[in-house]
Amino acid sequence: MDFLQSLGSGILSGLAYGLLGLGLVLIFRASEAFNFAVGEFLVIGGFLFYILYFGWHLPFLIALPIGLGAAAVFGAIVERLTIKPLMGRPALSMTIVTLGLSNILAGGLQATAGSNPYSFSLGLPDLTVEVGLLIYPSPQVWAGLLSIIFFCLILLFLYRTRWGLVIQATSESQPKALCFGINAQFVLLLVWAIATVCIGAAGIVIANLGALSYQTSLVGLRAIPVVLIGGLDSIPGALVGGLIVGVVEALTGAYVEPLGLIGFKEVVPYLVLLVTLFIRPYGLFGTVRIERV
Amino acid sequence: MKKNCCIAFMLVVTLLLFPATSLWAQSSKVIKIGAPIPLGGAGGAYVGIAWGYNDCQSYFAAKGGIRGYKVVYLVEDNRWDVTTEIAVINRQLTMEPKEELLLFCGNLITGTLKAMSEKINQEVRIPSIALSYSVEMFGSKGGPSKYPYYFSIGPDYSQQIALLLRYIKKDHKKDTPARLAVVYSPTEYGRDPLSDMKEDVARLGIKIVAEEEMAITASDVTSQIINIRKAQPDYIIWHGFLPGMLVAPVFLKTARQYLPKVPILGTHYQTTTPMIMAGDQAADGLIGVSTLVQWHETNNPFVRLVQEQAVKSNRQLPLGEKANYILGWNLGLLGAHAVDVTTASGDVSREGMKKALEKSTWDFEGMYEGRKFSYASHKVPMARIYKASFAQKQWNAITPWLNADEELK
Repeated sequence: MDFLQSLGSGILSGLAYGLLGLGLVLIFRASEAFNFAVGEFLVIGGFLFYILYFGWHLPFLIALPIGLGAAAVFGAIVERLTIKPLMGRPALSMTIVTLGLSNILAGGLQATAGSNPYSFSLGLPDLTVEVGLLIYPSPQVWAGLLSIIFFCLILLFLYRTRWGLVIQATSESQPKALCFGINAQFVLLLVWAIATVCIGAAGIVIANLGALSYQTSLVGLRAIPVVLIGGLDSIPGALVGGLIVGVVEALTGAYVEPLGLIGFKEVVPYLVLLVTLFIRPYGLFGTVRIERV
Repeated sequence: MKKNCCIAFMLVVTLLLFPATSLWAQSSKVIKIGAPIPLGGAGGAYVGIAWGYNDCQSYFAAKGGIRGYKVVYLVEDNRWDVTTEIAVINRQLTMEPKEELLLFCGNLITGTLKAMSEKINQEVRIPSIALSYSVEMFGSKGGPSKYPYYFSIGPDYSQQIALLLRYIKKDHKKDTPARLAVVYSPTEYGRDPLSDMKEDVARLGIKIVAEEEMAITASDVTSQIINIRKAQPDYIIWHGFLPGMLVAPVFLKTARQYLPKVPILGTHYQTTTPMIMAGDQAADGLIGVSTLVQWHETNNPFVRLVQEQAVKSNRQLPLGEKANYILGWNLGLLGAHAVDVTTASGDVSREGMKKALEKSTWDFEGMYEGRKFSYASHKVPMARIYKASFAQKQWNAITPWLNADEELK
């Protein structure tokens, strides 16, 4: 029974991690840069929604798209100000810029939102699943459900729309896309906007499990093992990586931590990452690259 | 010859002027209080503390100082970080004249107290009032005999938990012993009162049926809560968490889902308005011991004084910062009280301040419903048990003020 309980909880959390990972994968595919400011993006997405839903009391179905739209605009602005000027430079430069960005955003968040947490209960219909001793509380079920919905919407956009096709083409080869007359600069802006939507949506479902504060950005660190296990450029890899991290964390909490290894739950995703990288250096679904040096 | 005359003249002038400058310095009558407090950094920016401290200073400045002494609070950001705080303390100790800097009264994180214990208690010997409730520093393992210059603003965590255990003992109506689950953070702060608590529990006939640690960065604590549920506790005590920590609201919400009827009791930092904000509806009915008066208790003379000054200073305090503002005042007034009793004693020195504090009895501007306390144990021994109301977004008192030193004899 414990196993099923932990497995279910792990899968529900893992779906949210997967959504978070998807945001990073999209950016990496388009620019080969790793966004270290993922935690701050997550909190900013959460706060933009918070203002509309809890501050202005807009209905959930209106606040959600507007909030995520605002997050997209934020992502686009960040791209224009920090990433675009570095186009043509090595991807490492962009990655380093995101490190600095992370610090600036963290300080800005603390200065504007303060250090105290904000209540964050979406008040969605109760979907608690209770079968015998098994309980999956409503916020956890909603986290899983909303993550699946967002994941599907992003996939639909990427694989069933013209703009999605353009993004895929640019992600595959920027020079070739330029030859075909695709505005690669605009595509990069679009990718950052969509990635910020993914991360912001993950922020909303994760904040609903607890509260929203600038420290919620710590959850962003979970995205690192997620995408490295799944493969930095793999969309299905983000989902699988998220599920692996969620399940491994939950099972470790249930079976390993009671043996006295307290806090091991926080470490175990990185151990899994290490093992994965030994076996498959590009992650489970990552593209194997052969580079001449 | 001319040169020698010049040097001799300058020497004479210097010797004549030295006592005069020294007298001038005395007549300026300044007492400085070092106040490292968190204004930024990863641990959080709690500006309410600084505002409270600042307004308390303005209050005494408007009164013309204390017994003719100008009191200067050296407020500085410690970034809630031990290394930074140590640097702040060391710099203030180096730069400020020994006869002026008589006290530290601020955050003084437990880690800082440990690192600086030899310097403060044996070398510079300066009284230091800390926000720490550490058992190791102020409880059975520490105290004035081990750390003679350390003072705290409230009962240590063992005492706070002991008060909660006595509340449980009184509240438990079943014939069987109360079953208790204990949840804490895997930090020095979280583990600090555990051994004392286990001894106390045995004495009171309460049974600990589950003990769980929760990492402060955990975003899912289902496994821990399930373990607690299996143990079927009557009460849960949680300790070692701050409202801003990721895990605090996650714990409250998950616990309420799996164990909706089990009362959850916490120590001081779990008993704050931001914790109600963090936990949302799951915080309703939480019980906690607090060493500070609450903002809404306007029949309390201390709260009235604080609120009047907040209006005068035009402070727009968000809900979460009101408790911090009170905390700032609490520190400011303790510092002012220390100056008051020291100047009254006539021995205006670090040693004089320590002795005066130890001898003092005080009602803290009426904070404790007229009850006075003695600072002999180096702790303000007063605490009160509160219950959270989510609807009112406040903690309501369910006991009168308790003197832990007397209650737990």
